[in-house]
Amino acid sequence: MAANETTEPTANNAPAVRHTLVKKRWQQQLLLQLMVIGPGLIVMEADNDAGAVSTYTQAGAQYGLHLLWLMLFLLPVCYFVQEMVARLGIATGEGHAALIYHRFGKWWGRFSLFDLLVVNFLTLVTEFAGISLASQEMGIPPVVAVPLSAIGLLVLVLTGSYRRWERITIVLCVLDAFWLVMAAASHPGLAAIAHNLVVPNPGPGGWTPNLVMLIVAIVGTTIAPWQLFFQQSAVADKRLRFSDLKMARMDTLIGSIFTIVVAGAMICVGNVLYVHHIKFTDPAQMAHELGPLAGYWVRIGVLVFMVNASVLGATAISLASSWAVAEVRGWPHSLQMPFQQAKGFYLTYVVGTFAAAAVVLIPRAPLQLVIVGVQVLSGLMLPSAIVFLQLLLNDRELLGDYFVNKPWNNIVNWLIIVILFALSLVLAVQQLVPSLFPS
Amino acid sequence: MTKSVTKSAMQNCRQEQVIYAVIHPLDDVQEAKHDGHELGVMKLNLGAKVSLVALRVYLIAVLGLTVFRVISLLGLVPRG
Repeated sequence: MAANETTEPTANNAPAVRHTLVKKRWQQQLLLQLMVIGPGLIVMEADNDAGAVSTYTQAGAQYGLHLLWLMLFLLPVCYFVQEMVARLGIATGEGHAALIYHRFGKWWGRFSLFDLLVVNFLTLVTEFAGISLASQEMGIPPVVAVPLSAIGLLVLVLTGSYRRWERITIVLCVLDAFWLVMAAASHPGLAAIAHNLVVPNPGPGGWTPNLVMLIVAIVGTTIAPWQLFFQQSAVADKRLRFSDLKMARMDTLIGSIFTIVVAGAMICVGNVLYVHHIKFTDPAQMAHELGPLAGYWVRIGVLVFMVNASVLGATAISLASSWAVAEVRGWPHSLQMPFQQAKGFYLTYVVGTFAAAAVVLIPRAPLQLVIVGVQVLSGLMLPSAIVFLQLLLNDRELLGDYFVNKPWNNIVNWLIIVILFALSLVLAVQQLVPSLFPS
Repeated sequence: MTKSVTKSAMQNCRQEQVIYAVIHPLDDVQEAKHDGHELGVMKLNLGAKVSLVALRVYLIAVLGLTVFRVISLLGLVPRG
């Protein structure tokens, strides 16, 4: 691409800003897309975190490729929900927590923030639990791996550069494409994949309560409450312009497709256990079993990329919390700022990260209780966050005619909200009153 | 001002050849956004009120289940 970077003034006596000159229209569009890409891709791929690796590989290990159709169904759901978030972030330049606080009052603002912080902290604990599990299987003591990961997560954000954080995180996201290589090595069969993608079927066991609960868990894993807060704050921090909306939508679409493809690859990797009738316990045990079946490198790959998934999830979730707290409290909050200028924002990140890492290192910590807590609180959080999102996107006084939802947006989004409400309720009730769901 | 900078930078016409300038959002002049803080609390229409009531009912139901679960785990629920 014939491009050169300069800070010369542009035409019409506009102020001097750093810009890149290109000769072709397509070069301009491509370069602009590359500059805008980030929040959508990161929010989607970071959602393939430790919990997601566990859920998707479990789905593959217990039901083979039979649940692949669900991933195809979730693709538009992911896109439509996150597109609304990107639009809201570009229009207002504010985070989701701040908007709820300002437009729905202090009660709903505080409720949303409190719930977000609790569920994010518990999810963060599960990310470090994933690091602990995978590192232990690789022969690295968790007491070494977990603190090192926590320090790495701090270094990642404390550089005072949004761009640096984003570029490193995008590299970590793209590395997840290695799941596709591992899926290919597990030889699931293209015909079987194509069939199960387009034909919804429960597999040979039929629609059992366990299968229904796994489907609910997959939906809950694929669309998490923190994602709404994260992407809107990231879009605001990156200062995306009104004219970037089209590119931000493309960013979100690319992220949605990539995350669903990677999730499908995880199901294919888990499928190896299903084919060989091996019981699934957790991803580390799965990696151990995969060694003789798919190759030693697949075993190591699963463990390394489980750590990668945990790190991605941890940085995104911690930032979602930090941005939300700082927005509501009115503190300076930007990854572009050095630590001295945004102490509250960075300290929230530091305290959350180290506290979660410390919980995992406590001997006999009740991690199962933490996982149940995450699922119950997500069941509380997602419907409320998404209802506020939908109401804000219909706030013509705030957004004006251009950014406000169109009628077809509302039909699609209310449909998604009703489905998510029902599934979240089922998941919460299953965790709270398990006797209602015979296995 | 912000719009003019962005648009003029995007299509920087010269006499014979069109040159396109691409500016990273973080390098561009910050544009004025729709400010939610200044507007204050939203005036709720009927649909919004119904949505928030439904949300309250949902939250109360799930919180009620949580309390029931905790009480059950403590062994305080009589078994019929």
